[in-house]
Amino acid sequence: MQTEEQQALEVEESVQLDEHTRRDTMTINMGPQHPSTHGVLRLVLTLDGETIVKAMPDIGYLHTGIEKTAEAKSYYKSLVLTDRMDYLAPLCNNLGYSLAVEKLLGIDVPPKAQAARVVLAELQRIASHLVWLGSSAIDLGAQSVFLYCFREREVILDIFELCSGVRMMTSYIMPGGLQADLPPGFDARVREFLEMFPAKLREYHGLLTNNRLWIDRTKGIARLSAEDAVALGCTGATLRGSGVAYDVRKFYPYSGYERYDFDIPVGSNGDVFDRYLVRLLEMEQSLRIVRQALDGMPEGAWQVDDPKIVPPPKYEISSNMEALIHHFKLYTEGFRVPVGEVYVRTESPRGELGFYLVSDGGPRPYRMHVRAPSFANLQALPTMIEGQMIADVVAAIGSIDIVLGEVDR
Amino acid sequence: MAEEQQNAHALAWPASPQAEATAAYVREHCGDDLVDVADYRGETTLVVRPAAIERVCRVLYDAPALRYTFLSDITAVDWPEREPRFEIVYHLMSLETRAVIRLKVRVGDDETPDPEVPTVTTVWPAANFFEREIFDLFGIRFAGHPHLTRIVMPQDWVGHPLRKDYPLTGIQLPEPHWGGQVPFSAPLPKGIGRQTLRTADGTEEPPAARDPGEPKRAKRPKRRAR
Repeated sequence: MQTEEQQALEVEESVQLDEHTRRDTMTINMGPQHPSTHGVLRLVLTLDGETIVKAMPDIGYLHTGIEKTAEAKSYYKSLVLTDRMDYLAPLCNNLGYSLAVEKLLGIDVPPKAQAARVVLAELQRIASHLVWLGSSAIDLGAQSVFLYCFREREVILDIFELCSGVRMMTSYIMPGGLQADLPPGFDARVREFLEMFPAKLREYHGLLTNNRLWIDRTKGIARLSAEDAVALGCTGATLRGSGVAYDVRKFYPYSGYERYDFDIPVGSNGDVFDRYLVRLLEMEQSLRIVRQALDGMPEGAWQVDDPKIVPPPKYEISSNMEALIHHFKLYTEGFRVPVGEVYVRTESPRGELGFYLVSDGGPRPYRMHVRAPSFANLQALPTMIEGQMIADVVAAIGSIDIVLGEVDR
Repeated sequence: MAEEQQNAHALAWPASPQAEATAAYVREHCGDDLVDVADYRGETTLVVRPAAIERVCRVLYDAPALRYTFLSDITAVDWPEREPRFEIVYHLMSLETRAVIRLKVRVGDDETPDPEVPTVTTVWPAANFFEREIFDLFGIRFAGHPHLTRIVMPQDWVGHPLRKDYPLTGIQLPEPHWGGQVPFSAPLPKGIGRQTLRTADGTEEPPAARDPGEPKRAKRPKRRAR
């Protein structure tokens, strides 16, 4: 039998306890082996019943030290590492890295390379969004969307294979232009895709956008206000879903994006549904850009005319002494880059992808830092899901579209 | 020759007027804290005193015509032969005016191998992960950071991998029976090759090493097939 005093003390104690350490809450792990965490993300969730009181993302399970490795590789070889960061959008990473190296070198690529880069980056954006759409839909139980999305992505990967011989880790965009000229039939294949894809987009809209179940699972879920999104450094669709029209392609145009006519879809509620819609509408805009870039595709060189930067064609090596020397120098030492530092922003499918390159005048980057959009976007996850139900965590993770290869690097 | 080349590039990449306005604004409001202004490839860098970084960031955040409300990135660069050794690099952006600026502080010398800088999480909460990453990979501490722990490396990791004196191959840890140099019959060193338990505060406590003489635990009996 407790005295009144003891009871009062106990009550006082329970009030003094921090809300996160209340005894009636429960702390559980979600991940790193959870199928809906899109990789190896671990979330430490403090639950009150089914409501999330506190969430803490724990990352690093896929840390491969890419920034450290790049310091030991030549600029040309570091390009290959960038493919492995955001493995759903390798071409966008190549583009960001190449632009940074070119800015350090002080060179400009030929117009054909610029237009081809835009076509490829936009196709890559569509492919990446398709993986996101499929996987976040299957997380919420929409199985068939997953299959359709991968069917269409296959067409894009086939186009990449046509260009570079590789489906995913292409390294096709490189400092100084492209690895090879666009192959014959490229134009026709891309146009075929442009013809086919709008109907597929309508199909996705039909499957999800007006689907009562989808709306129930996404509308009003995992809200993020515009102020929070800006303060937490969100970019890409995560920021635009909250109503902030920041797109690097419009703000700081690169690769000739200022020449193309396209819109920036913006949400208003900042919930899962808005982020979903922003990405779907973005795919339409990407189609517009691809069409314009294809129509205006100039003829001519696809690389800079500088044998000190781009390797000579293979057939010259056996007949031309100079080409052999350049080839040897490029693949053993690499090209030297003037002393300096640059920060180059590009718009990857996930948001602002920044490459900060520091050169000490040598053939290897002194420091390569990648501002990974997923890394910054992940910071907003606790703000989104605190106070929500545990089942909505899956929807929230899907809606910020993280790629753990990029988060951990 | 090299200088000539650099000048040629400087002509091709003019500094943006907004960046110039930013430099002037900082000079006006906290001129004592501004160490240096540099332009390269059209990107402007303001070098400020380490102790003043939070104040300068706040001034830039509140600057009425500039409004640097968005923190793009924070990172660090290690220059072991320089004094101060580390550069911490901040990339700021304004969503209203599209102005961009780079801030830099230089810290760390022989007396302070693990230097400390004020955090900017008070200005932009976005700095949280970036500063944790720098702490993890460079060993620079951020005073006032809400949760300064390692972020990508394991909590019990020794050393800071992105420092230049950290070997690229990593640090060689004793490995059980490495390359056959240790006889396979020899017992493993304490704590190697056994799973450790992670405690709530992030430290790891290796379980008590099993005495090699102790009999092995009996195997669980197989479930009988029905």
